[in-house]
Amino acid sequence: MNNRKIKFSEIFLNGSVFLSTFLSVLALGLIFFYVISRGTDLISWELFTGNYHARNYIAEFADLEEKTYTMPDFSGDEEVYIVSRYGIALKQDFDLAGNGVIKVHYVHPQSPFNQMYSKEVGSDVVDLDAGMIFQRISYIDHPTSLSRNGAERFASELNDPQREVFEIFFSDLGGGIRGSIITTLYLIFMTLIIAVPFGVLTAIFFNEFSSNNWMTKLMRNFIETLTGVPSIIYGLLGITVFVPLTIRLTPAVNSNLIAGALTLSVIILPTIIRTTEESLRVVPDDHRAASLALGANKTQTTFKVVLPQALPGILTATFLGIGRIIGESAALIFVLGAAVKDRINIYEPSTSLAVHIWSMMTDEPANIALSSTIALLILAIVLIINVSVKLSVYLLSKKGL
Amino acid sequence: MKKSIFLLSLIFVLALAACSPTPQGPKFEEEKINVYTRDTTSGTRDGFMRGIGFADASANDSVLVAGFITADNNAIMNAMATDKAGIGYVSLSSVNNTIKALKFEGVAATEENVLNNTYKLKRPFVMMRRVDGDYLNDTEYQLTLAFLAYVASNDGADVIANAGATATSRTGTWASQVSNHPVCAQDNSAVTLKFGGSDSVQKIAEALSAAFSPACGNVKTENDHTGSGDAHKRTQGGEKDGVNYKHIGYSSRFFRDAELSGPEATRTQMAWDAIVAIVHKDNPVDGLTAEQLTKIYKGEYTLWGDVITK
Repeated sequence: MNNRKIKFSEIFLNGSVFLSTFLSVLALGLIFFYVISRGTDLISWELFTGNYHARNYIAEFADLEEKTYTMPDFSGDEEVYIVSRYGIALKQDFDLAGNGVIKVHYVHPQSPFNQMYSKEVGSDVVDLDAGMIFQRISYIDHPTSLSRNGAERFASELNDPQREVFEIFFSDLGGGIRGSIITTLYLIFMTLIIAVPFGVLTAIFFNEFSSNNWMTKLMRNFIETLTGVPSIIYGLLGITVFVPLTIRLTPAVNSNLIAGALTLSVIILPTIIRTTEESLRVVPDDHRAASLALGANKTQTTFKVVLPQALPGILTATFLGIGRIIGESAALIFVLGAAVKDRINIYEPSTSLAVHIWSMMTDEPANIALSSTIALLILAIVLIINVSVKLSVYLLSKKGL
Repeated sequence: MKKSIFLLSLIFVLALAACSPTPQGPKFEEEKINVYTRDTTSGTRDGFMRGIGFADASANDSVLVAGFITADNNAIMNAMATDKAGIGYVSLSSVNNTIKALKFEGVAATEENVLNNTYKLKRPFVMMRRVDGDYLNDTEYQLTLAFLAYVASNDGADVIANAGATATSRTGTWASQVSNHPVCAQDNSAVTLKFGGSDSVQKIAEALSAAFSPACGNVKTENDHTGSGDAHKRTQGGEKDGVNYKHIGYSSRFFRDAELSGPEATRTQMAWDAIVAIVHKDNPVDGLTAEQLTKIYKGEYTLWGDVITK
């Protein structure tokens, strides 16, 4: 009887082990599967290097001579519509973020679209190039042609001899995420510059300098608690302390990148302190004793003997910090804002990749495809970081440190 | 190794099983209605619930039918493409041919019907600017006024229509009005106008900003959308002098009484966003009344048969 009971519990335990592993791997696999299946369509070099905000132009025709144009044959191309009246061809296409747009497919060299007066302040002529986007075209005494009605209708309205073009509104291709990538890189760089020295030195204090009394224990417990504090609370700290501070000390006038980096530094500081301390702790006491016995003082021992041996640990801490910086969104919405920018200035608000996802998902309708692409980019960066941690720790340990 | 292979093949088999078709269900009349809704923070939900006369459900889940499903805009669109017994609601700009848009009180959801006020299920897009005298300098003030005039012009209406909503005013072309705003003849590329407020207006707001810039001396624009509540807060309310101050805030609901402290001239409605009840393409129902929708969302009608016969 006793024997059977043990067998049942063993089966139950073993079964639980397999089931839990199965569910965990399934959940993680599904996330990867989802992001990859939704996000790969939009991946393109232009998405990563392009502007988010399209440059818009307003123009009118300079010369309105009626001509006939010999157009190339586009009958093989799908969704290309020829406007024979003005010698251009339009195509129903997508911008970098996957929104439907009307793209200029071809412009005849003699087309009036090659000679337009700009209606903007301070510029006089402008021309339309293939690859640009039509927003709308307004006519005298006729309703405006809108791009959302599709290229076919747009082309046929433009071709209508009754309609006299009044103003042409066009832009270059938008929807790129270059600005958000640059902001994220800035954030990583600035945050690490602030947080790593402070974190490492604090860890040295706890492990090498302080005596193991109740004060140290209390402080260590505090830092441990801070590791688990939700980042939105650090965001509050950022908006009440760091943003006003940076406004006072720098040319910034509202939420800005420096305040974002300061807030992130505070967020990753506990992680860096804890991880560095762990790696200092495993340095054998024999090495310290040997160094002291050879006549080196405490400071020399710490910085020349102990610290180099803890380097792999500090590296791990740094890379863990980078992961946290890339993934942070809640705190950054407060201190950095959610405005997507193309030209990044450290004294101005901008958006990191994670906040860019938030911004795309709160839009109506949400842009899931672009969000998945950004998620894929973030996953790729984290993967690269992970591999480089393993590699550098391996190389360092091989060097015999 | 063997164990890992076993585990992976198990995952594969289960994934296949999950994808296999489900057996044929009961007749449509006996089908339970699957009610989909947006979450309580959504402006679309507020507009929909108020529009069907069930305002209690605007910010309160407990009055809804038991077993309702909360989903975002895309999830509701995707669900209606596959769930034959489902009903949900989305903004008119999201409607496409993968689902069936229902008539409301017998009126189809088209832009014409929204503007001539026969289609009643809609929510407003409104704007609020800083009060007079509360600007850093006169240029910013003049640019803010010019922007509001641009939004009300034919050009603004075209931009709004192009972004999927229905503009409420067409005061003539911007070219005919730009002389009323001499600030637009200057080079404004050193000035930044800041916009905030509702994130469901973000696409329209960004399109308006992008179109306005070349029309008014290439003024720089910054769109930072965090929710309708911030429209008043960051232009006239408690955060108006804070770090995230805005010149103009957008809201996807009418301003609440507590937000009406400023002069009336600082607020304006720019557009309507029609909300459409949607169902699966094979659903035989073509239209519903406010009362029927309320009964569905309350849980008084639980079967599609109730809707068809009663």
